[in-house]
Amino acid sequence: MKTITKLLAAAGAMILGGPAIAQAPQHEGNLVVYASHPSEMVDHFTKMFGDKYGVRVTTVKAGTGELLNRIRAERGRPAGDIMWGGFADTGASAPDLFDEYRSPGLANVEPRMIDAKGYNTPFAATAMVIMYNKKLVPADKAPKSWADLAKPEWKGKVVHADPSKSSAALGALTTWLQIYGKDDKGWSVVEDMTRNQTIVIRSSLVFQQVGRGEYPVGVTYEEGAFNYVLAGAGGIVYPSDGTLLEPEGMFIVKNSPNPKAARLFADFLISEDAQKELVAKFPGRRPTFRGIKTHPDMLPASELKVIAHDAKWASENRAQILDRMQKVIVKTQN
Amino acid sequence: MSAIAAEPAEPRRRRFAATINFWSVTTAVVLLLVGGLLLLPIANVVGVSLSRGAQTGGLLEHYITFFSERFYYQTLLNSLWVSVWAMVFATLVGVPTAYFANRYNIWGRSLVRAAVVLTFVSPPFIGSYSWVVLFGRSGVVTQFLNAYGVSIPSIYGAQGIIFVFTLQFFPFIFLLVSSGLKSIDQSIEDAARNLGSSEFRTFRTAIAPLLAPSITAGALLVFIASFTDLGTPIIIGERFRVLPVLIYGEFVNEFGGRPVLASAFSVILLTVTTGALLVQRRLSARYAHASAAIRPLELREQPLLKRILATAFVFLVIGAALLPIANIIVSSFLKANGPLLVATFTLENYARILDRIALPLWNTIFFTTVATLLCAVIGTAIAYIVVRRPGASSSLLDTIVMFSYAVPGIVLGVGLVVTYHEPPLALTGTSLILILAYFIRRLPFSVRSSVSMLQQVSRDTEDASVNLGAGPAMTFIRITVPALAVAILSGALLTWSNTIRELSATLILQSGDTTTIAIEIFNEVVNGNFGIASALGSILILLTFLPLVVLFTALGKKEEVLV
Repeated sequence: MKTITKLLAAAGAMILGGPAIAQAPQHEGNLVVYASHPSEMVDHFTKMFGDKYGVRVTTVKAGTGELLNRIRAERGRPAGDIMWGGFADTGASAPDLFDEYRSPGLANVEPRMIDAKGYNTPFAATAMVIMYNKKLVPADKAPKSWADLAKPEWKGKVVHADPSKSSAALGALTTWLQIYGKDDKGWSVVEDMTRNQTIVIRSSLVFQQVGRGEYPVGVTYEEGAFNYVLAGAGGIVYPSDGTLLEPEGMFIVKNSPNPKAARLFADFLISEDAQKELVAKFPGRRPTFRGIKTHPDMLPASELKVIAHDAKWASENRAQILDRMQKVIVKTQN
Repeated sequence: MSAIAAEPAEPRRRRFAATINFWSVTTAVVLLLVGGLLLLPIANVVGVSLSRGAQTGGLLEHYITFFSERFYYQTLLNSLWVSVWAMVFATLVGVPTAYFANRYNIWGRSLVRAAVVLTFVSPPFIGSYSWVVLFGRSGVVTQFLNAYGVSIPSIYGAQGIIFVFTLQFFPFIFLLVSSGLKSIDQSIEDAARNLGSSEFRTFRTAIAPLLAPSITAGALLVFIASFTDLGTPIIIGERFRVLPVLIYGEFVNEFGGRPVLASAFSVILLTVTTGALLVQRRLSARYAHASAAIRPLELREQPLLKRILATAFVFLVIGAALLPIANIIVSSFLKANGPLLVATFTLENYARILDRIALPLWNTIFFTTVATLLCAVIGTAIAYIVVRRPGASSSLLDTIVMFSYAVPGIVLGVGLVVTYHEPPLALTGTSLILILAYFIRRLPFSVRSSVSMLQQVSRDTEDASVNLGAGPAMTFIRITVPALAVAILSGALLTWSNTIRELSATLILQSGDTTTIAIEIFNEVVNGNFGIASALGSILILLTFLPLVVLFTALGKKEEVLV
């Protein structure tokens, strides 16, 4: 009797709902997202996802470093499913913490955004830029290149985050080393730049301080600066000596408690709907979906001078780079 | 005969045995609890800090690193520098403010005390950020003054930190000195004045020495608060680094961090605060004197000019201290243009937090309430043990509870994570660990409140109850607790009001499900949404202030209980 009812119900569903119901994605009903992105964007997409698939999403918001510490601490008993934040190679550089996942949606993503090692789901891309405050610096007086930041006229006027506490700042540092040399020559440029800088502990403090006019110039990621461009307070310089254009990170935690929901969330973020929503609501971020255009005020990727980023070198030498940078900070920031 | 005499002795012995058992068991349980929540985590932090280093393999390697590298040890010197100066300036500001507010017939006297209470409800972190909004290089006040050609010194660096700490913490001195002034007899002042001393000389030679215990107690509270503060220096310190910022930085270090180094730095921080607390206890014991004035110092009518000047001074100081709160409340009603606020009033910020405040609000109230109830129950039991059952374990308990004053939140947070991460007691990420952290951090409020009341209540009634056959537990619940009701309630209100704002331990212990309003404020400030952060901050101000209103109006408590 029961079996027959079930069969009937299933048949009814097939007729009424067609294949949509048969293919309704499976998930655990819960998802825990660790996110270092701004709350508004995290809340927006987790709510959109939760409403669409009936998943109860919880978020833990903190800096990338804190979240990675936490995932490492919880290794034996993971509590989070997703690490949403950090750079594209964060996953590949910590295979003990993250699982590979190649979403079927990657077929629609710009090929150069795809992680060769298969850990990252690239939902957006960002460039490292020089941001200036329009009231304090006329557009024609703003620094044109990274090298300009080492000039004496910018002493004490540049704010930058500590690369050991901010993946964006580390991205800028590896960019400089790739432009000016990974040897002592490059490091001496870095040292000259650092001497001019005030180092803060959080990357979001950089665009905030420049946007509010506390500093004339800062080194930051495009999205943080772009919100102040839209508000009329800030300007962006894409350095003439080249910049990094890299996908942002989204990784699935190893042995995550809700692996199906986690993969579904990854598929969702690179879906056409979510990518269009990204440009509409958070125009500072570059979509990765082929054919979706960036905000009109934002320089298209084709017009940027992008360096050939050696991700393998950057992730293999991360510890030494951070170590040496710590010495530069100790030397220049007293 | 002998049978009759033996009859009543039997139950009495049993009761005596029961007394021993009930309170011995309670003492043991409470000792285990506070030991497990405070001593064990601290011991673990010390243990981790002594891990063998990679370079020399020595146990003290991380301490040697700290004291041999200028970048590190300079933070300790910087912390001491700002804390000592904050202590000095808070005293220079707090003592005259208290003196004028209590001795002169300044206008708006009743407002002063309410305003001082308000300075205690400033929400964490956003209060510090307010100073940048007001006095930063492009701050509201800075720009206003610049328009008139006036330039003010920078809010950044050591001078800014000292300025903010002075205004933030002088109320400790104000409240303690106000209470100290009440215990001085008018005859002392009269004698000095009759012998021809001027008012200032009288103050310096006759009154100030009697205020010494209040001033030193307050000054050391200012020192400890300044020494452990993270929010202010992280925002306005810039190149001027202090020890708590260094610890936080090492703990949140990207790609692994250096927890061992962070532990060693924590131990150094804890050593200084513990030392300061010991000095304070030493001094307060030495200065302790009977403090009942037969005829307390009177309020004096002043000539008009003096009255105007005193009123201006008091309100200038208090007005400055209240600036961050005013800024938060005003900002919460300002319209946001992307990340920037513009001068148009709106309720948008409140509308934007509506759909996501439910969880943090519920968590905040739930954790705070449970922790407060725990504090009230266990704090009262501890107070009873400390006052009524002196002995080795009782004084150990007293010392542990006082020690929790000296443990900075960030150090407690790190210790709890280190101690309660692995099964069988895998508590990290749960609500319980936050509740327990709040409980142990704020326990002294309840204990102190009940201790001071219990010392005034005679134990005759309790003895009578035991003699009439009630057991010790029954006596405690039916006799002692009702006698302490007001003290327990006022301790609980203070606990609640202080716990609801907790940030430094919560930052380390929270998980997404256990986020609180203070955490949401922190995240919004660092992400640059000052409007939303202000709306959340205003709600927190209200939640902190309400219990205090009950405390001071319905219970008739004096503001001094805040310190």
